[in-house]
Amino acid sequence: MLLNRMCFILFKPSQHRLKRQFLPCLRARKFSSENLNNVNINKENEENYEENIQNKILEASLTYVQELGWSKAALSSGAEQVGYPGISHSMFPNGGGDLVHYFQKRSSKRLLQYLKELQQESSSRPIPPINFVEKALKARLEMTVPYVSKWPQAIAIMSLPQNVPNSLATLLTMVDDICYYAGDSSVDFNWYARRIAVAGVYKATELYLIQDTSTDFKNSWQFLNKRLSELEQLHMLLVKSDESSRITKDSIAAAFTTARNMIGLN
Amino acid sequence: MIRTTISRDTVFSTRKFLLSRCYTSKVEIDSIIRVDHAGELGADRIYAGQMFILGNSDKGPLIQHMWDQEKHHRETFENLIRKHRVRPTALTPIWNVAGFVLGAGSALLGDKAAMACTVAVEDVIVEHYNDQLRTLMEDPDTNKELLETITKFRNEEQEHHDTGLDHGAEQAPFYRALSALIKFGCKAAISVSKVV
Amino acid sequence: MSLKINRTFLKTLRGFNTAFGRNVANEQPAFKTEESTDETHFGFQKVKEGEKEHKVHKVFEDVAKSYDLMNDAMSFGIHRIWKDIFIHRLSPTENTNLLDVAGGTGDIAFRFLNYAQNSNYKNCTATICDINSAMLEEGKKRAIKLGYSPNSLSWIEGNAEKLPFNDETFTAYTIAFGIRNCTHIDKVLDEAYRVLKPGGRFLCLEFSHLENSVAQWIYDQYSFQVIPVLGIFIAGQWQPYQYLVESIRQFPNQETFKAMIEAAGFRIVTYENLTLGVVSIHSGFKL
Repeated sequence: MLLNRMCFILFKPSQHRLKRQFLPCLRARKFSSENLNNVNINKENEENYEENIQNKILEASLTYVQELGWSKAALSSGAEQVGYPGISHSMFPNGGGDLVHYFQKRSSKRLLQYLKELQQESSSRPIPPINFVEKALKARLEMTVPYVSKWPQAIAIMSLPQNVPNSLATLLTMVDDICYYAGDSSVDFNWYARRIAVAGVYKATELYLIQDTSTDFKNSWQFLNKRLSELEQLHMLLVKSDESSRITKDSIAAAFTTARNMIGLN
Repeated sequence: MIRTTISRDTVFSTRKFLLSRCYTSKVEIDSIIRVDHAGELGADRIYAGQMFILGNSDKGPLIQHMWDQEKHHRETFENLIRKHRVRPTALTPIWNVAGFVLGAGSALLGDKAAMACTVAVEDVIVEHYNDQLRTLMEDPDTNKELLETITKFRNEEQEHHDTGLDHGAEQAPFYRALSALIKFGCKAAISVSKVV
Repeated sequence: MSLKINRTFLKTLRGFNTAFGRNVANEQPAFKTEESTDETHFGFQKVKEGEKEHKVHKVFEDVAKSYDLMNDAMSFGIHRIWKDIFIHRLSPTENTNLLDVAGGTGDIAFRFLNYAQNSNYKNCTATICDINSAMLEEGKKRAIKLGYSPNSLSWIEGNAEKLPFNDETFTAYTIAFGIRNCTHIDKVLDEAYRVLKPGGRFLCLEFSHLENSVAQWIYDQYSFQVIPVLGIFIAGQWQPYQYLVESIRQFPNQETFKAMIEAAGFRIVTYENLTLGVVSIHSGFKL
C-alpha cells in the first residue's frame, strides 16, 4: 500500500500536491530497484488476489445457474456461499454477462487440456482431422449439457452488444485451438475458411442442442457428424476444383505460348 | 480476463521505464511475421506476373533467379507462421491478384518498366525490413532467429534493388511517376497487412 | 445591505476571474508544505482544521430546511436522477445492511428501501449517520411523512472520521455529496474500511471534474454566477452556496480520489462519470 502511494507520488506530479494535502502521513522514501521488484511482485500478487477472489465467486455461482439462471441472483448466492455478502455481486458490473464469459473461458481451458491429450493419443494412432474436430466439438458441447436448460438465456446474453466482443473472441480462440491441434497447417485464406467453418458447425450444433430432447442428446451428435461430413465433402469439392483450375490455367498458358510461337513473337 | 477497470498504469509504466528493456510482445512478433509473409507473397506474385510476360525475353533468366529467391523467402515465412502459430493475412486472394497484375502490367510496359517496378518494390521492402530490425534489436536474444532471417532477406532484397537499377530501371518511361505510385501502393499494403 | 451586495459582487467577480483561463481543479491557493499541515481549505478560504468542522456544521444548519428545494433548483432536478442511478449501481440484494454517511435528509436511504421493496428483498436495513442533528431531524420528519417502517431505519448522530460503530458491521457504505465536506478524507475512507464487512462495498457519489474544458467553463460560469444568487432567493443566504461551489473545485479529481480509496485498502476501485463529469460515482470493495 505504501509502495503504491510512493509510486503514485513519483509518477503523477501534477496531482501529487493535492494528494499530499490529503495524505499527510506519506513520507518520501529512497527508491531502489529492490523496491521496484517488490512493487512488481506486489502488483502481480494484488492482481492475482483480486482475480482469485472473483474466480472463486464465479465458480460458486455456477452451481446456482440451473436454479436462478445467468443472473445477479446467481452471483449473489455464489458470493454468499464463498463467505462474502450478497452485495459483492456488484464486483461484476455486467452481471450475467460476466458469469457466462467466465463459463466460456473455463470451458475453453478445459477443452485445451483435452485437445493436448487427444493430440498425444493421435501421435500413436493417427486420427483423421475431421474426426479429431468432431471429438473436440463433442467434448466442448458436453460441457454445456449441465446448463442446457438455461443455455438459451446464455445465448441471448452473449448476443447483447456489450458482450459480443467477448463472446466472439472466446469462440474464435476456441476454434483456433481446435484447428491447430487437429493439424491445420494452412497459411493462406484456408486458415480463415476452416476456422469460420468449424465455428459455424459449433454454433449450429449448439442451437440444435438446446431443443434436443433425445436420450443423451444422441440426435445432436448425429447432427454434428452430418454437418462435419458436409464440410468434408465441400472441402473435397474445392480441392478438386482447385486442381482442375490449375489444369485449366496450364492449358491456357500452353495455348498462349503455342500461339506466340506460331506468330513468331518468341 | 473479466473486465475490471483497475488501472495501476502508473506502476506498470514505472516498471517499463526503470527496467529499460523492452520485451517484444507476442502481438508485435505476430504482426511482423504476418506482414513479412504478405510482402513475400506479393513479391512472389509480382515476379510470376513479370515472368508470364517476359519469361522468354533476355531478362527471363534474371527475373527467374530473383523469383526463386522470393519463393524461398515466402516458404521461410510460411514455416515461421506455423512455428509461431501466427494468424496469416486475411487478404491473401487480394495480394495474389494485385501482385500478379502489377507484375504483368509493368512487364507489358517493357522490360525497363519491369525493372523499375522491381526497384520501387524492393526499395520499400528494404526500408520496411530495416524498421523491423530496429524493433527486434530491442530484445536481440529472444529474437535471434528472426533477426538473422530478416537480415539475410534484407540483404537479398537490396541485391534485387541494385540489379534492377543496373538493368536500366531509370530509363523506363515515366520512371518517377511509376515508381512513386508503386511505392505508395506497397506502403498501403504493408500497413493493412500489419493488422488484417 | 449595500455592504452585503458589494461583498456578493466582489465574490462573484472573484469567481468569474477564477473561472476564466485558470485550471481551478489544480489550483492550490497558497498551500504551504509540511510546516503548516494543520491548515485546510474551506472553499477557497484557508482555515484551521479544527475550525472547518464547525464552519461546515454551521453551513448545513443554516440550509437544512431548504436543502431539498435548493438541490432541485440548482441541478434542475437532475440530482434525483443521479441518486437513482447511484442506488442502481449499488444494486442491493437481500440482507443488505447499509450505512449512509452524511445522508442527513435520507435521500439515499429512502431510495435504498424503495429498491429493496420493489425487488421484494427481505431484511434490508439502513442506518443514516450525520454529524448535523438539524439535518437528521429533517430526515426523521420526512421518513414519518413518507411512511417508512422505523424497523428498517436508524438515525445516528456521528462524525464520519470517527464512526460510532463496531468493526465489520455493515455490508454497504454510501456517502453522497458529503465527503468533500470532511476535513480528513483519508480518515473517512479508513473508517469506511473499518466498519465494512469483508466483501462489503464502498460507494461514493460526489461532484467531480469535467474532462471537456469548454463544458468546464460553462459549468464554472453557472456555478459562480447563478448558484449563489439562487441561494439568496431560495434559502435566503449566499454564503453556504458559495462554499458549495468552491468546495467542489477543491475536491480531488476522479483519478486522485480513486488512488486515495485504493490507499485506504479498497480493491477493484472504479469510477463512473455522470453528466460529463459533473458528478462521479466511485466504488471499491473490501476484499
